[in-house]
Amino acid sequence: MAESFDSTKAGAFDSVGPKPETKKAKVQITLNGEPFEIEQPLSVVALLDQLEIDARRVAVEHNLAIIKRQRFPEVIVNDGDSVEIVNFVGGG
Amino acid sequence: MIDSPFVIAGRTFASRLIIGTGKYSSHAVMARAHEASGADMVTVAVRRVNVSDRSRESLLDYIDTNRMFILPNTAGCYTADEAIRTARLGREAGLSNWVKLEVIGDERTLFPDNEAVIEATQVLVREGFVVLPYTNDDPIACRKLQDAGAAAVMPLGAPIGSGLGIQNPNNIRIIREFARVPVIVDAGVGTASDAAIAMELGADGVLMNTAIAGAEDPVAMATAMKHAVLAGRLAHLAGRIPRKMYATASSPIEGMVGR
Repeated sequence: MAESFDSTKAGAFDSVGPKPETKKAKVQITLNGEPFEIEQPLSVVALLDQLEIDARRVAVEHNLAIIKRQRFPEVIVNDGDSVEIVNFVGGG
Repeated sequence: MIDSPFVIAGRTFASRLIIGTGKYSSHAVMARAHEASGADMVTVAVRRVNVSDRSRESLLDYIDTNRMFILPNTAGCYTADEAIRTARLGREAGLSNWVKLEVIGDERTLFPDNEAVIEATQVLVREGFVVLPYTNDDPIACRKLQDAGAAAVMPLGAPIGSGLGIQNPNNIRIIREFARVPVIVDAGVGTASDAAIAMELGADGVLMNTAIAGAEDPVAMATAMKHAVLAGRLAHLAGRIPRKMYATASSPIEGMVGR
């Protein structure tokens, strides 16, 4: 005999319909001192690209370590990382 | 009269006037002032890129780096560690291992924290930087910076942006007498005569920003400063007359009609 279906019970609809996909957590980083979200872990070069920043005119720090330009494609920015991107501005 | 070349850390500069890139009303005005000044070295600051506003023009679009040597500064740093970190970032962003080293001791006066400047100089020199430290008109601090390996010493004339001119001329003269590296008066210049005085005291160069950027007509002031530095340098080399308390006539006494 089938169990009676009580829609008021918690979990009543759990077995109904297709299973929802696990929601992918976005990657939270600190960028130039502010919280910033990226879709997934990115290489430094990909991050600069996304921000439309010319890689030749900036210096980048990843978790307090300065990253040399040739390593921009290989260093990956992950969840919880901190990134500083600096450039030259007017000064005395 | 042929002057010796202006050399810092083995690099020769055509101009003894070094200027900044800050506080101009626009990048275009800055570029014209640079041209008028004849300077071939300019200072820049190292700051975070504005990641949300990408529309702002880039400073480097207005500086011809083939003709102009870029000297990153560590402005705004209050500890040796901050300055060292900024210097390293400046080296990475830029085209050289040169740095104008500033470690500030007080927000209102922007006077240097000499202890921290000396410490940061030692560290950065070890890492291969060419260090040009901003300091005050203390000959002992300058000597310590030189001993720490600074490529030049840069005593202030007066507080940054104050326009007060050379507050302690005798100290600047003494610094030049004791130093074995170039002496560049940096900060406090207000008008052309201040720059000329710095050069007459024997300074090898003068560094300024506000005096030009803040003038009503920056291009005219840049031109004035170019001439002032040239005039002051020539006057220094020409060997001035001594100061006397009383008069010595310029015209002969003999042959006066009616005597």
